[in-house]
Amino acid sequence: MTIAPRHWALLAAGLAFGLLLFAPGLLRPIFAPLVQPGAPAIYDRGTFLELTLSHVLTVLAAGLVAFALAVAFAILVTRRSGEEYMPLARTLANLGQTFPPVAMLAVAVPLVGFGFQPTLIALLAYGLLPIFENTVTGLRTLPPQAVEAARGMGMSPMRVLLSVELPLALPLILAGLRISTIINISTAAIGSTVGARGLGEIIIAGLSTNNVAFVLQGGILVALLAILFNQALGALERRVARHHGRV
Amino acid sequence: MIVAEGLTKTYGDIPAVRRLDFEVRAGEVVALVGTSGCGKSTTLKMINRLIEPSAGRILVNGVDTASVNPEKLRLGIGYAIQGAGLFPHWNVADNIATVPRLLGWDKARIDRRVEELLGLLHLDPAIFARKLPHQLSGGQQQRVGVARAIAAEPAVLLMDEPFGALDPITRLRLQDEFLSLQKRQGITVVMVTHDMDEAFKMAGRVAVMDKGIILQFDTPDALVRRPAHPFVRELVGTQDSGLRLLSLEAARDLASPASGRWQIENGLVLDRERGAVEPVLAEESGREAASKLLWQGADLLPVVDAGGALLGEVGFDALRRAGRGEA
Repeated sequence: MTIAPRHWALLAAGLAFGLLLFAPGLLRPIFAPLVQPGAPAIYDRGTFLELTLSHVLTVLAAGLVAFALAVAFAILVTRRSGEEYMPLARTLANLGQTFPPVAMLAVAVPLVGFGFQPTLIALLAYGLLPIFENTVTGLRTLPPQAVEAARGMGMSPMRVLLSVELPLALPLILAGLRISTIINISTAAIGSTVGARGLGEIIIAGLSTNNVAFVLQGGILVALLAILFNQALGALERRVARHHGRV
Repeated sequence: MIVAEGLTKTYGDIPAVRRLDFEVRAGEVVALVGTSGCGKSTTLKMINRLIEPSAGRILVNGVDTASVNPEKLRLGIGYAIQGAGLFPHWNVADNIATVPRLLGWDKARIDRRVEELLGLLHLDPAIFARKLPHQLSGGQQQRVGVARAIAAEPAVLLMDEPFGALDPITRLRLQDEFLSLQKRQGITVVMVTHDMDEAFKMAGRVAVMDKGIILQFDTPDALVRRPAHPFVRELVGTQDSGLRLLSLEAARDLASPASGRWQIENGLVLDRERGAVEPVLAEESGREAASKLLWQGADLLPVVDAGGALLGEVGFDALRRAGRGEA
């Protein structure tokens, strides 16, 4: 069996990720030259595994809520009765994306306190736009004959949506979810500034103690996480698209 | 079967269809023809309420369609469109089963019906049932589209340019298949087309539309011989109206008893004077007979049935009479 270069890169990313999560001690010789004598070469105020899980959990929680909201609004504004809400929905989604997540944290903390909640709110606002726009595009570029046939054969509007429109828009919706998730995996690191558990913690600890090894470890973990999520969600997308004959 | 009374559709101030009255009888094939924007598709879609009439009404089997839930109405009316409009994420069997499922048929009955329809449309169920639409040719997709439209045995079938997107050979074959299916099942069909040849071949009566009104609603024969409007004459075409009339006659009906001139040997038809000839088939039209006569430089050709048996003979005299309406 031959392995394509693309797969080699993925394999290397997976291997590095596994090592960092499950056997960080093995990497001590690599990071040791980067730190001042006496300072720890591997982050020691929490395991990488636990921090990665918290990080992923925060991103997924925000992603889930963003997904539900964005898809619901996209469905609403692509119905004839909801067309007038399109500009409003688009403005809100754009605002969420353009308002800096750091500023969003600053606004959210006084309202909901420190920790997980303000991070969730910031990520939610930041991740809405790609899912919303992709779902709208997906629902607006359906093969018109399939939708006409569905209506012409007696499907109710709800059945047309569930049986025809959403399944056919699924590849694009999934692409939106993928982009949103990737963006938020890196954005979630700032949640650590308001006390959310996550990989940002490692980077911040590194910055405050002038420990380059910590900063690198946090950064590399975030990057690898984003790469692996991108690959997994991309594979899912391709699978769905292939089944639809849209490749 | 279908009665339209004062059927009207306006978009803003612009009339698309103006006060149409027409009737489609049970078991008949009616074609709506005309140029783009003449209102033929709008008229078709008002029958199953994909477009709501602005005024007037449509009765299907005596029931005012406005009084029925539109989805329920459509479940009882087949609908086939150009490019088939198959659901790309469902396989062939699931596509065909769409309406039976909406009607709540049990699985065994649906499976039986899907298999029966695939057989009727010459698609081997073992090969095609599990295929996805994008794995089919255009002609196969259109066959599945027709099967899907008649799956729940509707009394009425609406077709919007169903064979429009196909190459000429596939189109002719599908038209033939559909006609024999329609005759066997006795479905009432209203079809929209801009192809006059298709309308003349498929329909018992043709409604010629222009600017939202029906100029003439008559048999193909009457449209050629007695066009009621210059536009009808133009659309039907005056140049080849003789050939159009011939195309309405079957060679079987034009044939006179065979003389002793023909002899059949090992499936070959021999003319005692000229040797082997290509005979006219009984189901071919007078137009095809004329073409074979000209092509072979003959004044008379034998007519044989599908089994190759001699039925009679046809020549230019018979065609001339048919062309003048004396057949």
